[in-house]
Amino acid sequence: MPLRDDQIRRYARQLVMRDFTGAAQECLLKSRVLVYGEGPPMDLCVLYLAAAGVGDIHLSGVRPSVLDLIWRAAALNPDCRVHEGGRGLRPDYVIDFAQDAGPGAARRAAGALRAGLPYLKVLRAAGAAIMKRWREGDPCPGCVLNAAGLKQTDLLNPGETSVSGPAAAAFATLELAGLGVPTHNALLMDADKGAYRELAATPLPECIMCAELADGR
Amino acid sequence: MAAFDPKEFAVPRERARVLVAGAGGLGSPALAALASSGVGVIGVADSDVVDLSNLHRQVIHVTAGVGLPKTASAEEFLKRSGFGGAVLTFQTRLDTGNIMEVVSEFDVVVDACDTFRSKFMLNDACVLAGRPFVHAGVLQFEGQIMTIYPERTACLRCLFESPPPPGSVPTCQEAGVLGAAAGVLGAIQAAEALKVLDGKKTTLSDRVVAFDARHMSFRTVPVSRDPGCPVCGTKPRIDSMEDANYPPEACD
Repeated sequence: MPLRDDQIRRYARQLVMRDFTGAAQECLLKSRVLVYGEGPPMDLCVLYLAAAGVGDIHLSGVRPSVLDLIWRAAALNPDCRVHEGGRGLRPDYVIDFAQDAGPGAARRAAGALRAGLPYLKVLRAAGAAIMKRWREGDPCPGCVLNAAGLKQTDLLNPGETSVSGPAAAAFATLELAGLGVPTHNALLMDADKGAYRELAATPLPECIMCAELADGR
Repeated sequence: MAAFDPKEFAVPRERARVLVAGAGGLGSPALAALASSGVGVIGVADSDVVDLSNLHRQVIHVTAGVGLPKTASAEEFLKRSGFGGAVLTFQTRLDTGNIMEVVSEFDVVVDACDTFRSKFMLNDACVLAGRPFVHAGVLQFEGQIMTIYPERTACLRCLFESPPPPGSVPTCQEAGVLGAAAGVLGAIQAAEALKVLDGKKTTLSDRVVAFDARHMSFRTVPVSRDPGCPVCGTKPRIDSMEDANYPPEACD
């Protein structure tokens, strides 16, 4: 469906960018994104997805401020609908903000990969955020966390940076619009230490979760 | 240049006063992050009103607020977000006549302006007033950020002596911007402002971090003070705010 006049005005600053065509915007408006987790960066991610014109955002998991977030997204952009829950959904993109680098995260990654869905994982620990777009053969979230010099217990202290929210939204928006150039490496954004760089991660020897992820279980 | 202790610019969060100059693409994520930071006072300066074309990136504003001053919309956002401190709004264009007075009221300044003229004016005012500030700029899929301690670390004019000639660089209106790219830079600006207030040594001073959303990559470039800098060098030619130092933008 062609863009309406008010949509052309609303998205004017992104439609004017090189390669960001009307067709790319229409792709965004038709897309469905499933978001796991909670917290301020997740909220900010949802708002940036909504602002860019993602059509439907499904929030999986219980969070106390969900109604406020749904209201804020709708008030920002009525083109976007934010829904509570994502059971039975066939999304176009999965973003996982759950503070979990254990078997649960590996299972969600394996499930998304098995279904052929893009899966973007964000972990926050000690003022840093790690973001990775998962692919077949990649190490498990626990091994990526380890590559950043962080432990599972560091996830209990995420720190106050919210950089990962818009960063995840940027990656997902570009990929959904067909403009993304996915990187294999994880991205480390350590606002506390002022370190922003790519992070090469390899599976730890005999990591059970990596093996499960490789098997797609 | 001698090393300095960033603790000399530290201020306890509850007493800290932060100015966000610009409530647009960079200011929105900065304000969203500062709202829950426990700072005492947030100042918001912007002369514009909310436009529909702002809303793909300026996530603190709402569609029903189109036509409202951005300062009022930002204040409403801060209240709705549960910000417990005071909000000071400056619904005026910062210019050579008022910028020193405004900047001097704050402990740290976030440069969330959208024109080179404003950015250089803010740089000079902060250096002359002795206020640390966090510069950032964003266009299309890319942007950069640097934290500046006046007369301690490299300022914007140490890198670029003067704004680019009018019309030589496209504006956001002409070239566009990915909303979430501005979001990344603005969120980093807030984190930097808080590190300045906390007296941390890990700020992005004397280095520029460049972000490229298209490739999801960051690049860090070390920089240093220029003894010939026109505002913070050994023989500065800019010692007060004069209009002649800030040529009008092509779209002014």
